[in-house]
Amino acid sequence: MSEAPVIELDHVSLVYRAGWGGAKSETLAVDDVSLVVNEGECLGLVGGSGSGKSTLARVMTGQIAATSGAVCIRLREDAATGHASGRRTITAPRPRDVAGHVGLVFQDPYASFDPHWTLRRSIEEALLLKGSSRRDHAGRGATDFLEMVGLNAAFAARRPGALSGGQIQRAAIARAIAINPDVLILDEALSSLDVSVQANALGLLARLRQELSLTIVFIGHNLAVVGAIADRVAVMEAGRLVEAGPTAQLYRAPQSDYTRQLIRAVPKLRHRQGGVAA
Amino acid sequence: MTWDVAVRCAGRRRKLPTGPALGLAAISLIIAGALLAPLLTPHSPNLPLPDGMTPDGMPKPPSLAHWFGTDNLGRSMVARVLYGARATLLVGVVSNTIAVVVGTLVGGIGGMLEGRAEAAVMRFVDLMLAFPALILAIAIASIIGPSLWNAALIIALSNWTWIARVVYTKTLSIRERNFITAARLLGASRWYLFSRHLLMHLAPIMLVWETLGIATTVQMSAALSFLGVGVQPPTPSWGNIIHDNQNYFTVAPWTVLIPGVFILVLSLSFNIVGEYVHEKMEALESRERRPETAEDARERFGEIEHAG
Amino acid sequence: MNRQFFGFVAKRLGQGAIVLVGISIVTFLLLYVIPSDPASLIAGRAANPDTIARINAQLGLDKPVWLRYAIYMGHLLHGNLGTSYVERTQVARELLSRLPATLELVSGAIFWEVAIGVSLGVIGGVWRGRLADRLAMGFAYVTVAAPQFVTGLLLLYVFGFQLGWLPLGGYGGLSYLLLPSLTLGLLNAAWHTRVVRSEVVREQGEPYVEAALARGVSRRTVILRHVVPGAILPVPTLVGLDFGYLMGGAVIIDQVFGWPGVGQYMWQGIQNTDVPVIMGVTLFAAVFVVVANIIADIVSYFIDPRIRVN
Repeated sequence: MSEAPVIELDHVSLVYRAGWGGAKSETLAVDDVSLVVNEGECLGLVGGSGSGKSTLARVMTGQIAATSGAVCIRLREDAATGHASGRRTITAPRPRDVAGHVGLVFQDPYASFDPHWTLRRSIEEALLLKGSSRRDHAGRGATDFLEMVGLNAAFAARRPGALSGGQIQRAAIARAIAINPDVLILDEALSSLDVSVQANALGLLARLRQELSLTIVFIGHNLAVVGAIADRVAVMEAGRLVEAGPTAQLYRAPQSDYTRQLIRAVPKLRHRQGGVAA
Repeated sequence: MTWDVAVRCAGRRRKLPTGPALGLAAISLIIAGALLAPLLTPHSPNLPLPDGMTPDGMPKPPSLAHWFGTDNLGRSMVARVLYGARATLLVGVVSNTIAVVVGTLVGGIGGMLEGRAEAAVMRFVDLMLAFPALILAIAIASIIGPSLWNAALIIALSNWTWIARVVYTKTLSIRERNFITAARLLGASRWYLFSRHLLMHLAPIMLVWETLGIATTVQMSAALSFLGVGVQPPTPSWGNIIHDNQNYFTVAPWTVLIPGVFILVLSLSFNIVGEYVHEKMEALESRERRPETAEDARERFGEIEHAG
Repeated sequence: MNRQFFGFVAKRLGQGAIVLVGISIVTFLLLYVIPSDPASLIAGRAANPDTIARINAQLGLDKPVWLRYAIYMGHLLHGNLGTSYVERTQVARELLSRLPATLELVSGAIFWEVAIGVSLGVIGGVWRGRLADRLAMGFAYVTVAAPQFVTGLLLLYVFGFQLGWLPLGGYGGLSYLLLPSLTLGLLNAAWHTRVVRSEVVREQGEPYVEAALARGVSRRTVILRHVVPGAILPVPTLVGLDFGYLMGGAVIIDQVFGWPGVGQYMWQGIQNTDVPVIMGVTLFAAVFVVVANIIADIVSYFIDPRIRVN
């Protein structure tokens, strides 16, 4: 894990303006956030609903332009072989700069895939849109990526309607990593899964991260889930970055009240005779 | 609606309720009649029959010899109605198809654009919606010259706006879905998104309107023909048969009522079938919003995932 | 009357104005630009070289298109809709003289469509699933599918010819108005029936209905005093929208019943390909429709609070 930053946010703010005439309203969705995502690390982004974490992710990837502050992305130079031959820096990125370099996994599994398409076709779409071929530079195809996430080849011909939530999220992860992304963003991706399924998915993510040296931004509202996989955690409240630091340190010595609230909100199981430890 | 669900439904061969079944039967019979007209009647629709008129020059009422009687020029009503079905059906189907295609393109593409372009397109659609359709159609038809194809075009022009509105609303709901965002993030063009993804989602609506719309276009076609600005005589269409015979109505009501009933039956049938299709599509759609499947249950209980 | 209301009205008026301008452009194009030889089109059957030369000068066909349009708009704003070439009368004057008859017809139609539509809709909604409902819906379906000219002729035949109760067309008192307005209103009555019925069904499902019935209020009172008023909220908007269809249908009805209204004027214009007449009536109908829609929107604004939220 190198310390080279992939995404850098410097005093970034985002203001939403709505209404006209006398009814103008301004919402500060992101309030002066400075944050760095380093190559190879997993950054957790935690906060309640409306804290601005999803919005921040979209600013990071250039989907929304920040109203003030600097956004900087360093993307791999994709040569024909797909090996990173270097990095180019983009300031104030726009969607087309970032196209094909960011993997996104969303919260609602069933909206992530076109219900008319098979999984194979959906994954191949990602590959085709990025590299104009159904296989990536290493010759891996849709079924290979499905297998990487624990879905055997027979799943390729299935449609999302016939799958369970956990299976679909795995497929979504497969599609996201198929394009060999510079950064993988999981936006509440595990939040709609059952707890036991979440645990499986976290294990999968940890393994993939190891194998593929992924850089991950993991967004969630449950500190326990986020903390299970993140190296560093950033806490957001009402658009502001409240606290950020290595996971263990945050748990042991939270600096802000809000973080303390979040920690308290995590249900802890007491150790009982022959029972389950927290 | 997903295709595999639809196929499963079709294959299940559930019985059609009586309304749609009758409607479908009526439509099929009329289409068959139109296509097989030369086989079904020995008479030509345009030639007066030697025994077509009564001694005082009036149309003959329905009898065993002439099932639908004769019209004001002594022509066989059976022949006129059967051949007339062709023109009426043709205008109805062609104009409606054009309306559906144009409406889908405008509504779908308008929905995929964003910002000012999208607002401009929908403002235009609203403008077209506000026009008094029928009277404008009549005006245009009378000026640029009445003919079958002009009538079809004009009726299409009056009808596409409703469809554009409906398609637009549906597009808005689909466009926010994550798989569209994901594809867009990969650099997919709007046309790609529209043609590869959106169209399949719009297919059910298009089908519904293709059926329902014909009920309206058939009527408009008849109205235009009745006013003399649609299909021109001597080519028969149900509307112009009535036009030709309206002055004989009191002495020969069958000349007006029989084509009138046919128009009613055709329009009604398409209405009933269209509403049935509409209901089915809505039911399939709400099923798409996922109740728990067996897969979900299995997963929760930790069974190993194998497909099939 | 607050700021929000005026904003609403202003917006609607603005939209209406845009629509009318759009229509004027369309009619202008149809009259003068698209036909390759508008002069002979206008002259129609009365064409001879002098006439055509005169029209060409009148139309100023050598002037650029936008200038011609400006002149046309100028005429429109002064209420000059051109001159019928066949009758040699002013189109606008003729329209105004026929307006009362058409207003009579349209008012009658609206009366029928609301009376029939609301009654059948309420009946169908209240007795949902029973015979009365089936009949009401059956009526609605069949009426929508029946062409107006056939219905009109049929009614004339039965009530005028066979039974002799009503005159066979023409203009006069109420007995002359009955059949044409009924025919014109029937089509829209069917739509009203369906909308009102579904509103009644929806309204009956509201919690307050059950609560009132549980309190012992008679079903009849609940329906008449609460359900029906709630259910007929969409009706004014529908009536406004109907004006579009009514104007178009009036052409057919006037023809079938010999009613001396605007529609009959249109019919004559069509027969003679009298372009100024055709376009004059079309423009007139469009103004009618736009104004009616705006009024309906405003009425709905007052009646239905849900609209204000939009």
